Amino acid sequence: MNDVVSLFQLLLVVVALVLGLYNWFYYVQAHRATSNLGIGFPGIVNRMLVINIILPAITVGFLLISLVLF
Amino acid sequence: MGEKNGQLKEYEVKKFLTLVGEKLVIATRRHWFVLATPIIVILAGGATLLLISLALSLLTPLFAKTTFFISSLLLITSITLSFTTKAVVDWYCHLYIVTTRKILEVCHAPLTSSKINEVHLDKVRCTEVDIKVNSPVDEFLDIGDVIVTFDRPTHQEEFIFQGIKDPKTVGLFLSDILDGAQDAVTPSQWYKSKEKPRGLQFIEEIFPRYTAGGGAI
Repeated sequence: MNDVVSLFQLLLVVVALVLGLYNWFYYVQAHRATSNLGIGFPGIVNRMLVINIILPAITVGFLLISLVLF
Repeated sequence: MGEKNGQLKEYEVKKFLTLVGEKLVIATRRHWFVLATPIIVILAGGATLLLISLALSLLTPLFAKTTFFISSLLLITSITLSFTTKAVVDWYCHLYIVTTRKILEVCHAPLTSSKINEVHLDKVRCTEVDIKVNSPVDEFLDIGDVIVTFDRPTHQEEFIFQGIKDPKTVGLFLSDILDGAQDAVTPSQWYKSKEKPRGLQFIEEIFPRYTAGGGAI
């Protein structure tokens, strides 16, 4: 039973990693697009883009720690 | 006009003013309210997923762990926020720009698509400017579409300003601008005859440029 939970948590780790990577590329592309257009993002959108990278990283860290400890 | 109805200032769209003597007329995005529907759908989806994960961790002994709930909470928040950000960025990078020489639609969706639709006003003939308000909510918030129909040599093309603020004023203003742009473009490219230069004046008087049949001689 614990194996099933661990496998599920590993799946969540993979999903979070993919999401984090996607958001990283998205951040780069979004900034490239705005610099091409000559317009900058307002502060709140910039923060949202950064949080989109940080949050999956926190998720991965939390899942890995819980996998190791519990 | 640009400052009253548009959300963009001239220095923000300076990059698009590339032609000689070109001046900015309108630079705008879609109304912020068009973001409401996708964001509500995304948040509802996130809330549903969250409820499912809560139910799983409360009712199923297999997932009855606090760590499972916290990790799924973090992941669902990440996914919801990612989709919300995408909706906001797509809206932010979708611009409508009208200058004295051209009309431009710039639509960048990072990692997905990119579209630039440019119409040079001296290369086309504007036949219609339609204003459309789609629902009572749009009427209340003063949101609507302005559809400009161009008659190109080979086909007709529509240029749609979708979901912009104050469509009536923008439509009427565009109508004036396009009229002015066509006045600036001498009809000689359509009517001038090298053999009969004097005949041009006569034809202009009888068949102004808005006659049916496109004023063909």
